Amino acid sequence: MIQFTKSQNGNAVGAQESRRKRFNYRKLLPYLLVAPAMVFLCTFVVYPIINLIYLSFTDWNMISPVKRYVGIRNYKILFSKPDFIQAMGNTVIYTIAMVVLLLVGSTLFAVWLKGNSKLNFITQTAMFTPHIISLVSVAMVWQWLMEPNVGVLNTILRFLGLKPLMWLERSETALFSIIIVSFWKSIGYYTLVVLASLQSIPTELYEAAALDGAGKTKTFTRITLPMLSPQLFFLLIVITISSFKVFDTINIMTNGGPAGSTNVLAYYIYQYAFSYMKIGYASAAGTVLLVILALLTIVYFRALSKKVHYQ
Amino acid sequence: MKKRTTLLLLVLVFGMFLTTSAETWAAEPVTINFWHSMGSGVNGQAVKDLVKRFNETNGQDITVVETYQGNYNDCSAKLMQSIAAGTNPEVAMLDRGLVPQYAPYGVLADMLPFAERDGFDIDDFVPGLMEFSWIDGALVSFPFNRSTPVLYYNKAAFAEVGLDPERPPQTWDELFEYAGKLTTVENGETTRYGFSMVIDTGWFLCAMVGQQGGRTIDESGEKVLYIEDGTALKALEFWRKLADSGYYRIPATTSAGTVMMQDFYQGKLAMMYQSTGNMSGILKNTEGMGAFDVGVAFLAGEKQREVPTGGANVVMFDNFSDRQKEAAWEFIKFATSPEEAALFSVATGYVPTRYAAVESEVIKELWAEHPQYEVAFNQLEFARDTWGSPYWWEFNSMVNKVVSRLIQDRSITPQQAVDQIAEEASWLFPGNM
Repeated sequence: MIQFTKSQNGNAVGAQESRRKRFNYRKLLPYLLVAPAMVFLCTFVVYPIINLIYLSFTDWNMISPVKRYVGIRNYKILFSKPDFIQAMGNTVIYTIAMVVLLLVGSTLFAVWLKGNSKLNFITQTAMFTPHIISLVSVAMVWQWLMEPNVGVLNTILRFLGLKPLMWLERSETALFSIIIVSFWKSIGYYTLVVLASLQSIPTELYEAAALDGAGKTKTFTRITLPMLSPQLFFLLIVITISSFKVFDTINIMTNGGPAGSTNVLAYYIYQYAFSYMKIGYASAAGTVLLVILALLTIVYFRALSKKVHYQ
Repeated sequence: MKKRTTLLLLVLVFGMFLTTSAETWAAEPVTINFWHSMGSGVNGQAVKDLVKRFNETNGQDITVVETYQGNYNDCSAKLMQSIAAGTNPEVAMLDRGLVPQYAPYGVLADMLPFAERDGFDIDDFVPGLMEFSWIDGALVSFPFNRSTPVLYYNKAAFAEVGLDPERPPQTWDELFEYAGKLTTVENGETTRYGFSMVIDTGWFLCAMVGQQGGRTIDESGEKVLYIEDGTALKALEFWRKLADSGYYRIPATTSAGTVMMQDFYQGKLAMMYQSTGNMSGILKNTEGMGAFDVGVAFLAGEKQREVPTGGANVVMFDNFSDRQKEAAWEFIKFATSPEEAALFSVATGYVPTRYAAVESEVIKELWAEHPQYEVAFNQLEFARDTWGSPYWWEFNSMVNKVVSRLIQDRSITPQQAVDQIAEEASWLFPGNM
């Protein structure tokens, strides 16, 4: 009996204690749960960004024991060097071309492939295939197709009685050739994204439009496009960001040449960091790219929080 | 009391550990890493064979692990990162033009004490190849796989157009004239180009500057000279004249050297400037296939003969224990020894780096069978490397870009090209600012 009371008392005290403990534990739990992610984020995102910005104010080549502080000199050189301005210009041209071509292309293809016929299914699969092929193989095969003397593309041009192009071998056509390859590689994926959202548009809308006697063009501009606009906006941002980071195709197909005509920001940074060992200068260029991408992301989130309306 | 005993025991155990480790230390097997840029084909196999021979015969329990790290540029990029991370290899192959970028930071070991101690004959190396070995009185690298551009020509094509296959072009004018004669056009399409060389200005622009008696960079490595003395302009005018004539196969944007050699094998190109490092492959794909005989000659001269050298040197890194450095030195000594230099040269076509190697039986046999190899070695008499400068690497790729505008795009004049080169130089060289 006495023992019982005692243990009851003991239990009460224990419960109180453990409640306090549990309380603390509960407060700590969320932090513990996010800790692995935060550690990861800090190590691989936050620290590198801070280090990048720090390095952009120094003159360092990786093997020198001292990182000499040079203030904003790297940025001053960056914005007055013709090759950076050229790389920047190429990146912008590439991005605009990719955004326009991919948005228009994927919407048109998606509308075209909307039906559920077998042929459509086969075409969808065929279009998606480039997306799953390794970019390295794609670039190398295209390099071969675009070979000026024996390449398939020029053979076709000659067959049609047209003047063969120099494709990757001349400044005027090189960037354009790279855009073709990138477009071919990614159109299938974006078409699929648009297609998915196309299929989620309620059929009642189309039925109502049909009842009202709306033509095909009107249905497209008044129903399809507005209903697609959130997805298209999402794609706009995704394509812009990925275009700003283009690297692999350039590295394999042209090395930024001929005469720097296909040099883009990411490749420019790579060249200065790992060929010329100018880590400070490359970091300054990297910071510029970071700022551009950060601005794009902010625009994206701002717009996303407001939601794109389609009415 | 008890504490003291424990302490004593600890010291004893620790001491035993120390002495045993010190005893076994000297005889302990040691592994050293060797990074190189000899990928596939005969050149990669030659490195593998060399390392294998060393591992089997060194008798000091040294194991060398060789790793292919991509071309010179990629390999150097990885070296830089590994040095920053402290994980660099003991020994590496480094493009000789990159040695001046590493040396000032004290990361390369000075091998002079080792060489002096072992009586290693430094004077036996061909002097034209040693310009990147001595830096500020330290012996930081040895020539390993070194090359020099030569003129390869299709003897059958020479005979076909009535040129003497034993008399290659001697001057720029002759080179131009021969290229014209060798070019064949059918239905408006060029079926055979007379001549080609890739846009590698570190080799061909510098060679043409030197052939006029000019210099690329001054002794200090602080100033570009060929801009002001007019030699670069004259060289670029000649290059452009070739490009405009239709006799010159315009180089491809990527893998230009490979594309050019393919054309040569297929008879679509009659003459080319290309590295001796490709000699074995070129002979195998032409004479070896019974296609046509290949002549090898010195680069055409102008006022005088001059030829740059290329390829890589072998370096040792300083951040290792004495034992590891000893092992690394053993390997470098072996790899650059006359016997190995001869074997490597025979296997690949890179020039023998030492006079003693030239005396060896394997080289004599090779030269008797393929006199082309001897031409490349003899040309080293005119070898001159002019660009011992830390700014060189970046400058060179900028000049390539400018010359690409002049030759591939043909969008600027030679004078504009020189002006653009001058601007690039002003960004980099203190002497040109």
